[in-house]
Amino acid sequence: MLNRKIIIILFFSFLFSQNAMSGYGYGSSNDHSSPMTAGLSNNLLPSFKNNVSLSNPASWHNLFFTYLSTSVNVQESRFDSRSSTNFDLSNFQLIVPWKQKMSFGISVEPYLSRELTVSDSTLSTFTNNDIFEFSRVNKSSGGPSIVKFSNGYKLNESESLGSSLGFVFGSSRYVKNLIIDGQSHLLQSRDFFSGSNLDIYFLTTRFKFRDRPLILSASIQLPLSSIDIENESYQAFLDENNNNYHDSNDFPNVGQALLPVVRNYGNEMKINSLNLGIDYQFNSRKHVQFQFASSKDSGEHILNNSIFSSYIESSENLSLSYAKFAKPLSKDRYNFRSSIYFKNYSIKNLENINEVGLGLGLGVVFGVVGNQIDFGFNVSKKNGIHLVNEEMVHTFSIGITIGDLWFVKRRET
Amino acid sequence: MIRSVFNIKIFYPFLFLILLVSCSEETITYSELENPEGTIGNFTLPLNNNKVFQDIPSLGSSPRLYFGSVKESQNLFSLIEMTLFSGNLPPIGLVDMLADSVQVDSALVFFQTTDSLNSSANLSLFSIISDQSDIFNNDSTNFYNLDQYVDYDSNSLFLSSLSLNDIYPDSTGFDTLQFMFKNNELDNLMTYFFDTENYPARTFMLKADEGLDELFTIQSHDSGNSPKMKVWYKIFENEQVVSDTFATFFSTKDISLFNPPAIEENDKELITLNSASGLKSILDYDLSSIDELSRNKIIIDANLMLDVESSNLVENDQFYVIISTLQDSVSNWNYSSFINNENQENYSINSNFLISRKIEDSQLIIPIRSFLQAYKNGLFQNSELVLYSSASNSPFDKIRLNFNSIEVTYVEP
Repeated sequence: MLNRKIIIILFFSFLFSQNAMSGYGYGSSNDHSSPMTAGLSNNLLPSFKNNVSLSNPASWHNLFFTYLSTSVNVQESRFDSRSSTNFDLSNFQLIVPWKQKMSFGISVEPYLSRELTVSDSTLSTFTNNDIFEFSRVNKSSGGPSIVKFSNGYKLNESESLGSSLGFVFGSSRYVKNLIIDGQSHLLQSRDFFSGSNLDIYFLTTRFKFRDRPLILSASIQLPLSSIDIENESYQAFLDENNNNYHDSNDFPNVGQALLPVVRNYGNEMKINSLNLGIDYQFNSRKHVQFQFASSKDSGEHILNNSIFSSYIESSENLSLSYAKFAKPLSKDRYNFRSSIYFKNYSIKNLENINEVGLGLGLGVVFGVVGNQIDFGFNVSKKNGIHLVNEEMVHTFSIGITIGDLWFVKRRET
Repeated sequence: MIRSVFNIKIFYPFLFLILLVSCSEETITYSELENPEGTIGNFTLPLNNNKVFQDIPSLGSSPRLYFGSVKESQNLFSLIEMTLFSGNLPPIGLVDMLADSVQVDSALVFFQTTDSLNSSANLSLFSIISDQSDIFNNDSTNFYNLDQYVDYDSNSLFLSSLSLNDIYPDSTGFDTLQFMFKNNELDNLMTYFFDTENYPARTFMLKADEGLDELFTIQSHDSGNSPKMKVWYKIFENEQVVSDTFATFFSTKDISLFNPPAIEENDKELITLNSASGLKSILDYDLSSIDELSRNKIIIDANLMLDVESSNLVENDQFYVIISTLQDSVSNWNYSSFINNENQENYSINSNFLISRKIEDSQLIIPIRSFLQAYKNGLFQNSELVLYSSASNSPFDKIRLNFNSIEVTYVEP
């Protein structure tokens, strides 16, 4: 029953996400895929339980139960006195620990979102003694997703390793619409993504500071195979019936149009990243966290099929967080998270983007297995975005994590 | 309590409801996203070659036989071949009417018309007394190749005539022209028409006086009111009348032969169209500019605009021109005629592009953007366009057009 509901939500997901960052490259990535990481603005350090982060497989061996987690978010983007509100599924994740020694997980989440519509104002032009009123609307939509197969392994009482093998799949669409005297002239293309990457995680609790535990964690992302793109470019047509679909009523009609041109672009994206994090539990279940993240895209970007004709070459992120976790099996059932982060994006041939953001999160634990419902709120301000310059993004996310004794052999009475 | 509130069965429908109501997509609007230059353009297609050629004359699609002299065209005569046997049961042959046991009392040859006419001219009925059968072909016999057939005039025998005075359709929409045969006229009919052993043509010739200076038509074999002949006769056996009945003979094919307007030298220089003389024209525009258009340029406007140089149209006449492409390219651009088969190439039309437009305000405007776009997409290999008079026109209407270059407007989304 649970699975069926999740499938329904998946069906309506990955739609409508729109922010100005989607105009760069092949779309914007979702840095905070769950309300937990949204509240803390990091993904390595404990955010689910006192010593567990669902986004760090190296910490999963500390789980006692199998957990199924899913979350959604609502995002409002404001720019140029306009706003856009969108809703999408953030992630879906299943984690199975085994004897506090190993763990396995599978997750699906959006990898990039290209949902963006950009139009310009109506202009007039003289051609052949005729006056044409025309405007242009460029629209991209869809985007690839990633499925990750992860595992964690406890090396000893202090160190643990984790790895995550991610496969990028899916497609996005790009439509250029030239509207002349109210008639749409569409040029459509579709990009199919394929690629894989490997994330390796390390976590140690060997060190202490003033007799309080320190958690150090690091992760690197390596492209196993770069993200290749198969681009299908369809011939432009006059959309006579304005249904945004090439059919027999259009000009030239679909039967007279040329077959799509298919081109393959290898090594379009090749992302390497490094994350370093330190967590200090300065009081019982109270943490202060710091994370540095760096990412670089060394892909060739030959297709350069983006609305802004540019892409993010690299980014650096610094975050400082405070977290307080609930006490298991007590009346203190609330997790609290807060953070501040700074991020810088280096844009190829365009102005760099600076981002500053705040995160807040609240989690409520219920049930003996530590089920949890989490709320996250993130507000960020970006400066230097192409044409828009300034964008304010508010993201509210909500997630639920259900634990159970799944895959655990029951005792027979 | 908390467990019941966040019960999964409640929670997921709640998320689904949020999803449905919270999505909104607004367009990000920027001013002057792109420069309009290059998105709309135009160029001119100059005329490379043109020719006038004479195809087999056609009197159009109307199922009629024509009489009179109109618009420089003179009706010579019409030929109507009748069936060898009657349509009654049991069938009786024409020659059977000459048997000793048969007495023919009278015969009626009749034609129907939808025209009104009040003329002093007469319409005469002749019998072709050739010793050959199948003396004409309703597809290929015409004024220009009469010398390939029997001399109809010298091989005809006058049978009867009637006045074309006071002809008006009745409430059924038709008036009937009746040639009644009795006495001596009946003897001629029996001798020179029923005797198919000596005169196997069984063909009537209808001819109007030269004084008929307007167009008059009767229903032809292809109509529902085709020419017929009704014969009343008696059959004797032992000098006793054993049968007193009639037989009806129908037309099997017919044709009107006209002396069409003369083909003048000036006709060969312009675009000349006339069905009765078979004049058609071919235009060949230089489409190299189309070849150079990039894949995604859409031709949004291209009209073949031809000015009427001269015509024999009178007020309220409507003249439709059909334009199509040719199956094969043209190599001989000089005037040619079907009469001299050695010079005439095959000008079969390619019906994948076939369009008709009416001449209005002394100008013919035919949109050819679909042809040009299809040519650009490789669906047509030949650039030649053939123009001819529609079958719905009066075959005697003749028009001469001047040619212009074609203005083409395109856009590239």
